[in-house]
Amino acid sequence: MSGWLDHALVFIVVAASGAYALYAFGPRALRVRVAALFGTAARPAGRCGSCDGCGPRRPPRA
Amino acid sequence: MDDRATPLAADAPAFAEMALADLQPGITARVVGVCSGPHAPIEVAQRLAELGFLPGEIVRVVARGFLSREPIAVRVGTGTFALRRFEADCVRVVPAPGARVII
Amino acid sequence: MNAALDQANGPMVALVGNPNCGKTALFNILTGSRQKVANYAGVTVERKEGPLTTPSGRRIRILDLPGAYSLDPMTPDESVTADVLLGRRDGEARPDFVVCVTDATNLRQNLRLVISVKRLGLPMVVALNMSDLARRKGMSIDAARLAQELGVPIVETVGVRPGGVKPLLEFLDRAGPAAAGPEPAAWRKQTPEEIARDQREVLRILAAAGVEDFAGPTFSDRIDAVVLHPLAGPAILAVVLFLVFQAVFAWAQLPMDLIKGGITTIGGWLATALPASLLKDLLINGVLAGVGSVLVFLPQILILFLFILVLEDAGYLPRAAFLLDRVMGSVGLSGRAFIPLLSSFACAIPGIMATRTIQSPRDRLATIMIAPLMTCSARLPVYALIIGAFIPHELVWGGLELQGLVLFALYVAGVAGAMSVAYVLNRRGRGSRFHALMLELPAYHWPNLRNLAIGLWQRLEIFLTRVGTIIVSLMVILWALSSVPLAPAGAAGPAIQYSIAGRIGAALAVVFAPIGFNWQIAVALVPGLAAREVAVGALGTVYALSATGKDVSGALAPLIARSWSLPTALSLLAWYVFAPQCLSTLATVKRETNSWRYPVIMAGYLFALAYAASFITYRIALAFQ
Repeated sequence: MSGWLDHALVFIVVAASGAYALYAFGPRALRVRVAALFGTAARPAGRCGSCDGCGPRRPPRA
Repeated sequence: MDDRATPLAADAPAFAEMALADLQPGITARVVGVCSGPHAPIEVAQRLAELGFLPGEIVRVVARGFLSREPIAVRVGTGTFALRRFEADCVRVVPAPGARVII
Repeated sequence: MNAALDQANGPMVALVGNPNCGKTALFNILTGSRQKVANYAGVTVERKEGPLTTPSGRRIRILDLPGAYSLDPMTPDESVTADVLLGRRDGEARPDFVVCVTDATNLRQNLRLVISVKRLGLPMVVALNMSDLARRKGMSIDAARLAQELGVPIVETVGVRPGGVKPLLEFLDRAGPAAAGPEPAAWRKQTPEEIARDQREVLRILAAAGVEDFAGPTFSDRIDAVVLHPLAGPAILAVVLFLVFQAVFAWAQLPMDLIKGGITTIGGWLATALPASLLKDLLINGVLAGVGSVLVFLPQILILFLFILVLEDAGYLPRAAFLLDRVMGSVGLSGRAFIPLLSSFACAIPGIMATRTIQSPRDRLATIMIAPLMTCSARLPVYALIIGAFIPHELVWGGLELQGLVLFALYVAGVAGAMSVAYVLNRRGRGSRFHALMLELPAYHWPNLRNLAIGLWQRLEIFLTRVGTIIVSLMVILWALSSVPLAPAGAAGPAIQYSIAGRIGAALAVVFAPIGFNWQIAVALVPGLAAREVAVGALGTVYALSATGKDVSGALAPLIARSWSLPTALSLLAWYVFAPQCLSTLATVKRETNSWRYPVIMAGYLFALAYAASFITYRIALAFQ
C-alpha cells in the first residue's frame, strides 16, 4: 500500500469516528439536527448499555 | 371518617374491631374502614382505599417479616399487597374466621 | 410534531388501567414495539406512543400510559396518566378514545378504575386482558352481561399471544374511535366513602355477570407461604442470588473461549493478509484489541440477564422487595425504592427513571442518589476481566467457584455502600421514620418463553450495537491519540509513551499513584467515562500499543495479570464499585431532578468514595502482600 493511501484511509476512519463520538456525546441540539437530516427520532445521549427506558428501541412498524 | 361503618354481613359479632397490623397470619377478617393512623396522614388512608381496602372486603395476612413483624403481606379481595406496619395500622378490621369472598 | 401531522396519523387511543394488568404487552402487539414488560407494577413510567394500522387500513395512534390505581395520582408516574386523561398536560390534546385494560382475574379491583374513567365521558372500551388465565382458573365471565351492566363495550384479549388482540383490533376497526370526544367532565378527588360506593357498584356488576372468585388460598398463596416465610424466604433469596453469580462464571466459559478463539483467528488473518502499514496497526491494535476485549464478555452479560428476565417475568422481584424491606426501611428508604434499585443492576438509567413510582420527593431523591451504586451490567466486563486475570479458577468451601464468590462480594459491596449512603442521607435530612411501601405482590406466572427470547435478543442487539458504534469509534480515537506524535528516533520503550494519550496518562498517573493505578489504567479511565465497559476496550488498545511488536489481540487478561500487582487489581475493582464512570447516568439525573445540583453532588460524592475505597483497599493489600 502506498504511503499516502495508507495515511488517507487512516485519516478518514479517525475523522469518521470523531464525528460519531461528537454526535453521540455532543449536545442534544446536534443530535436533533442530524436526526432531522435522516428523518429519524433523536436518541438520548450515549444510550446506556442496557437501557430499558429510553423509548422504542426500534421504529414501531406501521 | 366514620370508623364504625357497618360490616356487610352480621357474621362476626363476637370479635372486636382491631387494626390490620395486629391481625394474626392466616386469619381472615373483614375490613371495616380506613382512617389516618398515628404516623400516617389521610393520604395513606385514601391510597389504601384505592388499593381495595374497602368496607366489607375480606383480608388475610399472608406473611410477615421476621422479628419486627414488618412488612406485612396482605391479601385483599383478589390482590396481594405488601404494607409497612404504620400503613397496616390505618386499616380497621373485624376478624371473620372462615369467611370466603363469594359474590 | 405539529397538529396537522397528528391528525394525519389518526385519532389517539390511550391504554389505561391498573398497574401490571398488561397494558404494555397489548401496546407491543398492537404497534409492533418492544417496550419492556415484566410481572410487577410500575414497569412503564412514561407515556409511549406508537402507530397502528387496523386490518381495514385505518390509522390510529396508540398511547401507552403508566398504570394507575385511581385518577387521584400519588406518584409522578400516575400523574402522567391522570394528566393525559384529564387534558391537563401541556401541548397535548385529550385522547380521542380510551381502552380501559383490566386483568380479568382481578376485576374486583380493576373495575373501580373503569367506573372512574367512564365518568370522564370519553368514548371507551374495556379490554378483559389475561382472559385465558381467568378461564384456566375456572372463572366464568359473561362478557356480554358485564358489558351491559357496566354500560360500556367489552372485548377479551390475551396480551402475551400475537393473535390475542384480534377482538380489540376488530373493535377499533368497526366501532372506530369517534373523531372528537365530548367535553371532559369535571374531576374532583374521591373520598374513601365514594370509593367504597364505587366498590359496591363493582360487586353488584360482578354478581350480575356471574363472576365468582374466592379469597381462599391460591396457587400464588401457597408459593408465598414458603417464599415469604420469615426464615425460609431470606434463605431462598440468598441461594437464588448466589446461583446467579455462580452461573455467570461457570456457564460462560465455553462461549467465551469460542469468542476469544474467533478474535485471535481474525487477528492472525489480518496480520498476515495486510502489508505493514498504519492502517494495519489501526485495525489490529486499535479496533480489534479494543473491541475484542469487550466482546468476550457478551456471554456473561446474557447469562445475568437471563436470570433477571426469568425472575421478573415470574413475579419474584416484588417478593424480594418484601423480604428486604426491613433493611431498606432501617436506612430510611421507601420500600418502593427496591424495584428501581433492582433495575439499576441492569443499568442505572432505567432505575433512575423508575423512581417515578415513589411518592415522597425526598425518598425519590435518596433513591436516585444511590442508584449508581448498584452494580450495573456495564461494570460486569470490568469485574470479569480483573477477576478472570487475578482470582484463581478454583473451588472453595466444597464446590463454590471462587471467581463467582468474588463477583458476588463486589455486588454486595455496592449494595452495602448504597445502604450506608442512604443512611447518612436520611440522618442528615432528618427524614421521617415512616416511608411508604404499599407494593403490590402480583400472582406468579410461568415465564413466557417468547418474552424471554425477545428480552435476550434485545440485550444482544444493544450490546453489539454499542460495541459497533460507541466502542469502535472511541477505540479509533484512542488509537489515534496514542499514535501521535510519533516517538522520536531511537526512543526507548513503546511509542505510546510519547503520544498525546501517553502524556495524559502520565499526568493523571500522578493523581492515581496513591491508589496504585499505573498510567495505562489512567488513560483507560478517560474514555471509560463515556461508558464503563469502554475502559476494558481502552485497556485492550493501550496494552496492544504498549506491547512491543507482539500481537496481543484477544488476550488482555494474561497481559494485565503479568503487569499489574494484586493490590492494583483489587484497588481498581474497589474503584469501579463506587466511581461515577458514566456520563449518561449523570445526564439522566439532571433530567429527572431538573437541576444541575444533584448530578454535581452525585459525581462529587461518588468520586470521593471511589478514591477512598481504592486507597484503603490498595494500602491494606500492600500491607498483606
